Amino acid sequence: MFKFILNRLLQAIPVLFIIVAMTFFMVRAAPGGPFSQERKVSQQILEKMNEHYGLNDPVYVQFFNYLKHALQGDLGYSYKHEGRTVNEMIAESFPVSLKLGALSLLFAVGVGIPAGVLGAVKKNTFWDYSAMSVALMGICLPTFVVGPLISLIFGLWLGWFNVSGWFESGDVVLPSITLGLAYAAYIARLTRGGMLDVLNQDYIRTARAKGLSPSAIVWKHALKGGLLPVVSFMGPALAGLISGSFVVETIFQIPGLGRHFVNAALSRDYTMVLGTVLFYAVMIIIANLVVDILQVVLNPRLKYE
Amino acid sequence: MVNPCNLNVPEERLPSLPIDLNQVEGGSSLWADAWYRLRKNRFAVISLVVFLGITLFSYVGPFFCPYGFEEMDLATRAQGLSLAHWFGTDGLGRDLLARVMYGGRISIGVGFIATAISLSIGVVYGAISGYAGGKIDSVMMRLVDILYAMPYAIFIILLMVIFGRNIVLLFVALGAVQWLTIARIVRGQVLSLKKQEFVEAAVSLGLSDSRIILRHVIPNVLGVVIVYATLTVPSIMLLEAFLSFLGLGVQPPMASWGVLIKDGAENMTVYPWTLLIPSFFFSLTLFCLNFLGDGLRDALDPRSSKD
Repeated sequence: MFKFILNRLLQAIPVLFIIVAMTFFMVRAAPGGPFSQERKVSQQILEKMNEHYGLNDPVYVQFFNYLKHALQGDLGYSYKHEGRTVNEMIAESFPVSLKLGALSLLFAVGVGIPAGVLGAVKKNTFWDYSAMSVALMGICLPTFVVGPLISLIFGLWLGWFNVSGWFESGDVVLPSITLGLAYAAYIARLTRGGMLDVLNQDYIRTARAKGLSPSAIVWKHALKGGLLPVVSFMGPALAGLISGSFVVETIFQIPGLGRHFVNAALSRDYTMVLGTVLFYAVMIIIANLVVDILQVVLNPRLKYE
Repeated sequence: MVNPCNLNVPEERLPSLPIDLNQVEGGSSLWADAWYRLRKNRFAVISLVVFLGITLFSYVGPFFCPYGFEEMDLATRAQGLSLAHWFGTDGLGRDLLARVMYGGRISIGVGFIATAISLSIGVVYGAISGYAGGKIDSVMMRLVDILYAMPYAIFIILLMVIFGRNIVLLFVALGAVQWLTIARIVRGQVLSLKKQEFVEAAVSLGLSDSRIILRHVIPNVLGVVIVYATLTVPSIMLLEAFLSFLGLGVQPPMASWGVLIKDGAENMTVYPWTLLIPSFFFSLTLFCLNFLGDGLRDALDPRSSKD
């Protein structure tokens, strides 16, 4: 177990290095520096600023400087927000995104698993078909269609929620549903498939023969095995949640990291972009590791590979 | 009557096939068979028809439309649906019907061109990797693994930011991130194919490696590739629309469905139809392509299960 985790962490190092290197050199290859926009600054000031930010050094020196600081957890200053560090901005906005992501996952799991179980238990009935058709729609409808639509319907026409914003406690509902809908759909399909596999196995027949109640069989015995595909889906799901958060936070004007990233990208705030990408990459790697460990916990037949 | 397909196709259904099976060689029976299975799948056929209809509407429609997609007319701003403007007009007085058709051209075009790019990279890469085997294979696949771990939506955003938002780059960037899966699939297929006799025969005839790959190996993985391509088109269209929605994809005055949905979402409180109509066309196209892809998978590879 320990060796497995260590191994995976070691594998993550080259991945992270390549991500940082690619991002860094892409950013440096961009036409125009961070100060070459809007107001013209005098040559002297420009020199001074380039000097201050170390932009006059050769690129590889800049790269290793950046790497050195990043390893110490220092992602530098934002180019656009004066006097603010990238660390500060991530620390401030990430909890918002985390809350949104957690609530969406909660929604996805809370809706997806029961729907999938229902589909599997009542296989090929009306319930199965309606649950799976709704799931298919959830998969095909992209976030940026669902978001404006439910904001239009429930925010504007029915007036149940605010159209956008992140102030009252009710404001979390529409964004979480928007972000979680596709995952609820995937989870429902995966749960159904996994449960169908498990329900045909011998140990379920044994449980039935022992005279256990159907609900105990489904929820206690079958579900644990039936959820395996869902757990392995969680790793890729996180990466999707992150890019989904760009859209959802933009639609609902939520001050999270996703919106910061998009704004930084649009305004060419290179250090912020670089820092955010690095931060996301680390998050994804950690999440994948956790998912791998969870999979083995749920299914001891898998050996740590 | 000995028929190459009679294992799966009931005899009485044969006359309805488009090809006379007694005249085709054994090699094409797979396609005739697949076509038969696809036609039996009602959802897939409806999807194909609807998708072709939308494509025709987008590419041919503009010739019959009296308005240009960027033609502004402030006198007819933000009108609802009418006979003059079937889909109404947007806040700048542009005819929404013309814009939806034009946006469809870009969205569908991006989907197909980027898919073609990603397929050519992925198929060649996967075929080389699988055919070469050994060290080369493991290095090439290691690279794919590393690239898989990358948050690619973030990378495309980065690419678009840094190298300007031009549409050619968009094609290439979208195509470049989608080749990983196809490379893996093709490699797996090639690994099993290359152990078969006909490849051995080609080797013993002294054909060059590149010729064997291009002429003998790749045609045999075509079925899988077609299925995957059909499912790649909607995912690339989705990615394009995602970028355009964030303002990082197709730039004005050009428009794609993603741009239209973005504009519509900004103005939905005042003119909701500018959101609803493009969303409808975009979602419908995604639906159709996904159904069609599923149908093709069942048709070309009947052994694979659905989920």
